[in-house]
Amino acid sequence: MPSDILLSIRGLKTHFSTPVGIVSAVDGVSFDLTRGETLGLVGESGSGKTVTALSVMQLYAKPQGRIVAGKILFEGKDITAMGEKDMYNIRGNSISMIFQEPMTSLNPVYTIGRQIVEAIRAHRAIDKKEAWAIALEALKQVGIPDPERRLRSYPHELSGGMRQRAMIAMAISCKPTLLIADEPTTALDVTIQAQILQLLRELKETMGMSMLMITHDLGVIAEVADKVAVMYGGRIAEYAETASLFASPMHPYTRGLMDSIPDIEKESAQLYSIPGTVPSLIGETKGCRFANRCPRALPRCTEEAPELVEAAPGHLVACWNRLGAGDEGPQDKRSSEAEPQSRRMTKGEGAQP
Amino acid sequence: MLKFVLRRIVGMIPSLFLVSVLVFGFVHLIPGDPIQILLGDLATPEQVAAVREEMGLDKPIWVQYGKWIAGVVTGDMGNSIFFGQSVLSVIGNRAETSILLALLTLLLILFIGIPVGYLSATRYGTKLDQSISGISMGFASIPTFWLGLTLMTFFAVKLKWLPSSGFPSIFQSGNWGNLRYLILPAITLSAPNSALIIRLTRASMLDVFKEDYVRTARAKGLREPVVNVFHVFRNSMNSLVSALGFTFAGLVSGTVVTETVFSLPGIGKLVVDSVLRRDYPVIQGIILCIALLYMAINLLVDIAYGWLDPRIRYS
Repeated sequence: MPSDILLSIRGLKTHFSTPVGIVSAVDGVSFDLTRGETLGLVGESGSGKTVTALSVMQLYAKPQGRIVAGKILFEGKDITAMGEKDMYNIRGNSISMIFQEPMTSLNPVYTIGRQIVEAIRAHRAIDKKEAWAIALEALKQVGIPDPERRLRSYPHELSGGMRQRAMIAMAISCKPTLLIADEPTTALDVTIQAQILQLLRELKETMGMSMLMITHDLGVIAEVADKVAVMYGGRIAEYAETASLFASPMHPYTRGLMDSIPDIEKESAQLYSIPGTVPSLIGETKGCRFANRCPRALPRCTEEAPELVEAAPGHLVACWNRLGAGDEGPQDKRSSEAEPQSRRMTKGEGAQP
Repeated sequence: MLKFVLRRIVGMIPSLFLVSVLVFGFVHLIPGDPIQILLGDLATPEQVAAVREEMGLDKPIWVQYGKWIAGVVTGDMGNSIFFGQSVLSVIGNRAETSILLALLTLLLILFIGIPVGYLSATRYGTKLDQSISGISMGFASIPTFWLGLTLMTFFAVKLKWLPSSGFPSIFQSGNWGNLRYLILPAITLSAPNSALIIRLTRASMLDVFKEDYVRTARAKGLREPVVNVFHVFRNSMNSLVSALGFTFAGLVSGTVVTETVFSLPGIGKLVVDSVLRRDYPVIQGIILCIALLYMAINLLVDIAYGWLDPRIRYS
């Protein structure tokens, strides 16, 4: 049923021209977001999550950034083929976005109310008074205490959590069908994080929105996402239902991410981290971008980039040597593989003169 | 807000006192004798001594300062050694030209510098932006005496559209048409200053473009001009306000070259002439007035900050 799909990204490539070369920040990303669902987009910094989201909004840095290939179908229409005029009607109206830094994402010189009213009046032909009433309603909806007073407050008078709530109120004020949340809890205290996630989950339900949740935190994914797309080096490594991904990760990178979560049950002297760093995305790259850090890399991996294929029903993975049911679960990995890994590292270092 | 302003005004008193001491001290350090200059080379030592005593210049310097400052507090800055008139009326005669010229120039700077800078910033990296940057760099480097003389040759001598020099007082004649005497000087002064404001507007807007809240404004679906004016330009106004404030103060006090080229009776020329005449009371009076002007503008700039930025207003 195509009408079930709200957002469908096909082969998206967003590249940036920089003084040192072309950076392929997003390099062939495809995924679907079903109506009413939450899709988690997870990956390290520099994996292309945010650029993917900004491509949907057509807000990546221009003119350095450019969508060089692919389609972004939103409600069946290709966003990449739209002009700025059509985008004005989509941004903040049917697709809204909230950002990582609530401290800097609101304009310091205007009141919360004015900023929300501005968003509403950009899309609805109503007077200030009506817009003010809608803004008040939105603040109530996101659980800001004393909303009448807060509408007249300036951003610096609010705490980080309250500012993020105000941002959310602004984002939902035009009743969008898609809410893109770019690391909405990363800059907040842990206790506030849980409240904001809870709020987003409730709003998604009551308003019937879909949500694209961008995060580096698998814990957040486990809380809110129905499906997950794991991104690495500008590509999708794995795409699956959340439960399926956590139960049986197929991509070595996904498992590396899971192993990086400290386990409170186990006493371990060292925290696990994936060896190496995110690769540079400058210029043409051959093969799988994770190959140089991958414990399961085959010779083929550095030669040929793996396609995203359906390895199990609804579970897609892009890997030549994916983890199967026979491989040990994520929790065993630390003990069994920690040693060979360190040995491999020493060997590598010794080889360099 | 009122409390803030009052506190600032009271805070200005110690600075003014310090300025008065420094001014008085430095002026009296200038080598040369005003009496000798006043009376000429043929004066006998007896005549010089008599005039010196009459003017109180034979007393110790701290006594002279005491007498002077006591007068200043009551609004009497003494009499000019050269003109014989009171210092306040000497300054007052010249202030009209300088203040009107500064206001006219400021208006030109505002209407040229800000729109062009805005255009340059919003078309960042384009040919237009590069041309504006190049041209404004050129204007910033043009010597004012050359520009003044060129404009005068063309518009006053050849085309005869505007008067070439002088400025009959509007205050005395009531004829606002005399403002036309100030048009060429104002254009001359606004060229380098507009260039600076163009560059400042562009630079501060480009800074704001990188802010997260600008991305938020775009994500709301606001149109580009709305984002540019209400979010980008609005937040770059703080740096513009202080630059414009101090440009104005500089225009009132330091435009000797332009005043000389256009034979304008302004403050800048009065300062230079008075220094050459060792007219102590006038120099002291002018510098004190200019210090006061700078402090007043500083205060206005601070008030504008508070008005522009709520974070300053409430803290």
